[in-house]
Amino acid sequence: MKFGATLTAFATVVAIIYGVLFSVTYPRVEIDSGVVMLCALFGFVTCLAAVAIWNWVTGSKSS
Amino acid sequence: MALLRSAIATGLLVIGLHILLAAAATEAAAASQCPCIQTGSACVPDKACEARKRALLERWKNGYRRSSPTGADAGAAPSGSGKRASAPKGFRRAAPASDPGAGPVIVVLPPDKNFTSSAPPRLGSSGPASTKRPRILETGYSHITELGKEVEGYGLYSYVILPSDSNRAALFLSEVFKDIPSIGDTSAKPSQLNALYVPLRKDKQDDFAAMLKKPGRDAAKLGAEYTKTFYDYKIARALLGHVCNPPDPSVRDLCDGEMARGPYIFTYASPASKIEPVPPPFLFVDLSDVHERAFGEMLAAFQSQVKREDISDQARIHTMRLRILQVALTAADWVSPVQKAVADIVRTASGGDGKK
Repeated sequence: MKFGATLTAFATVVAIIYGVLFSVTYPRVEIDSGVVMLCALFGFVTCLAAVAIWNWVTGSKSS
Repeated sequence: MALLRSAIATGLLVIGLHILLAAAATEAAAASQCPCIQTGSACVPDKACEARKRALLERWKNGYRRSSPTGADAGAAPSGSGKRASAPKGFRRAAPASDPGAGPVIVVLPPDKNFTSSAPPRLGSSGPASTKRPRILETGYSHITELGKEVEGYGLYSYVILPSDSNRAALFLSEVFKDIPSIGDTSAKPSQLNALYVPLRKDKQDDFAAMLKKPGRDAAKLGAEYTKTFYDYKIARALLGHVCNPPDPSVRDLCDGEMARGPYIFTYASPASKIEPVPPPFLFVDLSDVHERAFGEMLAAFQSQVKREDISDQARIHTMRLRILQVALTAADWVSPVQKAVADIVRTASGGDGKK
């Protein structure tokens, strides 16, 4: 449960960063629910990837 | 379990590497400003453009020591018929000014209006007289009610070509009216203006003027109303006919297709609505595959493109940044139904639980 909450929090932060980057890169494009969902999805995937890579790296070091 | 994690991590690393490569490609494209040439599904680097850019860079490095800078362009541009020439044939850089710090002067050789062959016009001492063209500073929209009725003296002439009345056409015109000022509201000299002509039905001129006077109009409503009532599709089709009869190799694929989607923007150095065929160089922007919500960005890219020395190279149109936008907006369109579906599933599941 703790892992899930931390993951969600980080995913939210990363999603917001993606959203800000999108709005800065494409100022003339209106951000709608689709783009928000895409950012959320990418934020979640990024965090999951980070966790997986972290586990993989630390696992390989420990072994 | 550990094997699964390793596999996931490796897969994600590969994805990350792809993203990094894409970012590197973006940087490279931005640095070189040479878009690749679309040949079917493949996109091959424009070697001639790269050679031209290299030659340009060399000239800058040498402080404009060469007596004829166009020589380098000519060398980089083999004049093979059928092949895409690297240097635009109607545009060339003038001999450098005595002051190396002075900005480059662009010389435009206006196309021969009596041109009848599909081959591009030749440059040289026997060619048409050259006229200096200052750099384009602004784009302003205007209306054209009849072919050949453009106002003379503008730096560039652009035409908004909509093949038919559609939602895409309305959205595009909304963006035009929202982002681009009327030509009367621009402050640059006419010779530094790109006049963007939107065909207007001659019999509806008064109605359009009356509509503009109405209070509470916005760009979206204006775009929708314009495509429905005021846009002259006959002029648009005539313009397409001029470009495609016979087509330049750069637009041959487009002209061979149905040409029913659009919108298109056509830009030329002189009034082009009466010229047939239209000899290159010209800028023809095909927005058929562009997402509706990216029209604003594409218009901004178009305005940036016409400010370039070589307007026909599409370096500001075919950028990685705009391609990524296409992918992102398409993905966003796919995600939206998934979001609704998930919400429906959750609602159904929670409703089922409640019944229990």
